[in-house]
Amino acid sequence: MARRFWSTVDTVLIALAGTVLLASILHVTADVAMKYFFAQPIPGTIVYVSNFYMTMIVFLPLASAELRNQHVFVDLWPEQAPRWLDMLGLRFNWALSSAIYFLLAWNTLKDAMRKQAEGEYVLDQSGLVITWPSYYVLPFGFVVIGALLAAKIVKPRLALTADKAQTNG
Amino acid sequence: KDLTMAPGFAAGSTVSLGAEAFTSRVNELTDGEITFTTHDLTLLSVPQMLNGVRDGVADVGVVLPMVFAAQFKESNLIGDLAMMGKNAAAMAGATTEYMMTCDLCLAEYANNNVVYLGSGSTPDYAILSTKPFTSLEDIKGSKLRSPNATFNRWVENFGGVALTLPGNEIFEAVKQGVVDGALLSAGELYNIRMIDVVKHVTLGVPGGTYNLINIATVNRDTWQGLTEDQRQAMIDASAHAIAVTTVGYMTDATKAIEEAKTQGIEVHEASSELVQATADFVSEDLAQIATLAAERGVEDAETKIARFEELVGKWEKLMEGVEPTADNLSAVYKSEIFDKLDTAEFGM
Amino acid sequence: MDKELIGTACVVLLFVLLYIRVPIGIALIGVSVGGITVLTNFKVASSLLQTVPYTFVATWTMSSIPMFLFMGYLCYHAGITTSIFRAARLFLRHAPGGLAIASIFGCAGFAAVTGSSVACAAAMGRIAIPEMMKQRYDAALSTGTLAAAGTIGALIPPSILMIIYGTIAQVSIIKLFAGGIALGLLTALSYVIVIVVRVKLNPALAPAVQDHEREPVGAVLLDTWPLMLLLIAVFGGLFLGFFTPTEAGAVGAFTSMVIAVAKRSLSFKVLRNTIVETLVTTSAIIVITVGASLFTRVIAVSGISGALEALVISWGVDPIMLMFTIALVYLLLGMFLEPIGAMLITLPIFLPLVTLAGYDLIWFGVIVAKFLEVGMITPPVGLNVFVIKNVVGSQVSMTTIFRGIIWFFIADLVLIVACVIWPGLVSWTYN
Ligand code: NA
Ligand code: NA
Repeated sequence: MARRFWSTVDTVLIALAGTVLLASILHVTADVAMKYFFAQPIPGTIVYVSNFYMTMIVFLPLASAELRNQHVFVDLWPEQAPRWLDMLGLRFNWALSSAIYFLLAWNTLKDAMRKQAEGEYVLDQSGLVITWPSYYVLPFGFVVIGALLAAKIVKPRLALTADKAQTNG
Repeated sequence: KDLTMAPGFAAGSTVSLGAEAFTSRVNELTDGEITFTTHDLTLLSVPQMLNGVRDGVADVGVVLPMVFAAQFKESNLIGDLAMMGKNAAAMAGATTEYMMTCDLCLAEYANNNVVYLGSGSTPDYAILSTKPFTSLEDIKGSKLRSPNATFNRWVENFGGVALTLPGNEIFEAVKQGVVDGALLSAGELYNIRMIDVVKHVTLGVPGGTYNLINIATVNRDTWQGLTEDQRQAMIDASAHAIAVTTVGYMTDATKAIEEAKTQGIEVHEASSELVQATADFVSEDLAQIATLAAERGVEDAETKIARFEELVGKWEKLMEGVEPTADNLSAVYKSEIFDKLDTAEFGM
Repeated sequence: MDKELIGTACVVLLFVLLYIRVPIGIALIGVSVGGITVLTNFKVASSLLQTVPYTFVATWTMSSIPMFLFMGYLCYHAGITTSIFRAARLFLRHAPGGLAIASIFGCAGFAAVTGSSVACAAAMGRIAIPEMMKQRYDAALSTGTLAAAGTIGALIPPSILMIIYGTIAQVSIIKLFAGGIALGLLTALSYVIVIVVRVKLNPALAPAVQDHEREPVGAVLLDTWPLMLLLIAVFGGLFLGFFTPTEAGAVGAFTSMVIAVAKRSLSFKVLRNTIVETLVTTSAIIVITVGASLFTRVIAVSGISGALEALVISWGVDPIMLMFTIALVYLLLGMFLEPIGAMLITLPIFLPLVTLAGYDLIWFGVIVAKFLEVGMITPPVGLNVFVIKNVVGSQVSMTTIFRGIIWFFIADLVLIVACVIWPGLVSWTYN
């Protein structure tokens, strides 16, 4: 059940961020071509790429990286450590990581709400580009990975890859 | 009392020198009661500055309101009027006087929990390029990097293509021919090493300055925790700091142009035809600026523009014959603006 | 409590967290929040958490990282790179460690299109490591080679690090780039020597490539057209002024898609795998950089950077001694910080000292880029190593990669010493 749920979450996140990644490649290439061949840049390219595409490309897949055990850590932990200590350590790490991601989520949410109230925008050659919605990508991404890590404390084997959670060094 | 200063620019840059002038002057005027720890680039970057000073990450920071468009609608109307002036010393004075006597502007700072203490200005923008830009025809069909929407309209008005590029890409873009040139103050020949790539410098156009460099923007809680004497020291130090910054930029530009000449870069003056056409554009564009400001929710922009125009005129007269040294400018800023502030009330 | 003591405690706590396998990004963020709270107050820490992740990520320059990663992964999945290894196999089949040497050359070539070391390591690593594994190369050698070779990416121009240095130090970026070409090529050469010597001493590290059937040279070269086309598009476009270095990433990614379509190798599965790997690597790497950027503030606020200054002044009487002291400081900082942060902290302190000692600031800028790049491959925080780790997954442990690095690290130290003793090695290019 839980695995199926997280696998769906992963599919959605990857589909969203992947679409944005492709859009970003096409958008910048089109902008380059338009500037070079038609002397006509696509208005707002830098703002869209920086504020919208980049936030989605980086923060949406956080949980997907966790589900694939791709968040990097140092593997100096002794292999002969007893199993109970091993699991205790991992549970501690998940709890700590989860807490920090929720702290990030809470703070970036506060910032996003403030930016929305201020109606945050950037002035570009095209005029005014509203950017406040992009601030909500961060708390969203942080909450998803925070929840995933909390779930792992109860149910350690949620990873999508064949790797065992405890040997993914 | 030890306070934190965050210039957000590299040590040794003109802005950092201004920040340093502020901190050392405050220290001197308070007989050492207030000391500063300065973190040039490590504590807050330019886009992090407003939140950082607001929340007390730094007690004082260099805030550029143009970077925070939504938070400084009123102030940025004045930033958009940059093309009105050519004289940095006058623009710094006019801008600071406008802000200090504009309740809506000061309220914007208060809403962000910071206190405004004056603005420095760059000298007029020139064209740093790989080909000359002296006539109307030179601009037609050329690609120019422009700093903001106002300058974009100037480029497009003469049939050129205006491109937006982040500061750290201007050098490469000019070097590789992505753009034919960049609208920059001549001091950038040094500051971002444009001297290594450009072949021509055209002076006189587009004109206009970057006139909203708020060297000392103070966290409001910090401000209100100071004694009246200490606040007075900060006010006086800020008059000095914006003078140092503005003079610094002016000297940078003069020195850079001399250096460019010795390196075989051709320095041109724009043709009188282009200068006149630019002046016509600037006065026609005021209506556009007013409309755009109204769209962003600035009321009665025409009156505000007229008032600023008047101040620019006043300050250009005031600065006539004043030799641009930090002490001279700071004396005029003090007597015309800063001495009129009510220290007991200001920013409280 | 003494601020420097708190700073030191933060470094120690970071070590402990890393040892118990807390993900690096989280360890850096956690220690920074704690450290900043103790040094100032929680409101300040909270404010930085609100501001830093967004402002750090939402920038135009950062956007080239996923683009270059995408290009590298797609080249691998669509089989665009296999041809280059057949060519390398052909020409370097008698050289000891031929494929490893070919990856060094590959990285040097990629370096000319990318401004960042991480992107270079990821792009070439994806291409070269599986090929070397297939040929039964030693795991430590092949992964270490790629992690180290990635550093050439920030030495050979374009280089984000050198642009930032030139802006701070007010020196010619063109001259820095010229010096970078020299040091980048010297670095490549020193790595080739490392590989040749190691494989000569222990041939089992890199078994000779089997060539039972001799392939015709013409056909093999002709087969490299997709990669050549990509190189011309990106390299040519960049230097002929079609686009800027940041845009080069997107154009390269787009061109590689077009080539994959032309080769009829862009299946849905290929695209999906490329996208997943690009996203997951970008996310994992940038979280660490955000953490390192926060940690930079702990170092700054705690005054550790001030203590370093005092240390350098007390030791560095003689110019050579000063330079080695600076090198030592960068090695220490490079263990934990990301290069831009390390540079922002140190340059304000070092530039005046170095000028005073009579060093040329252009030479120093090139050397600083090298110092910072060494930090990319040293434990515990070695961004290039993490990228390679992401490429190989569970096949190879991080300890193995760091073991493979040691020899290249020694070569780096030798090269640095050589450059300090004979500055002409670098400076002839711009004088
Ligand atoms: Na490069
Ligand atoms: Na390191």
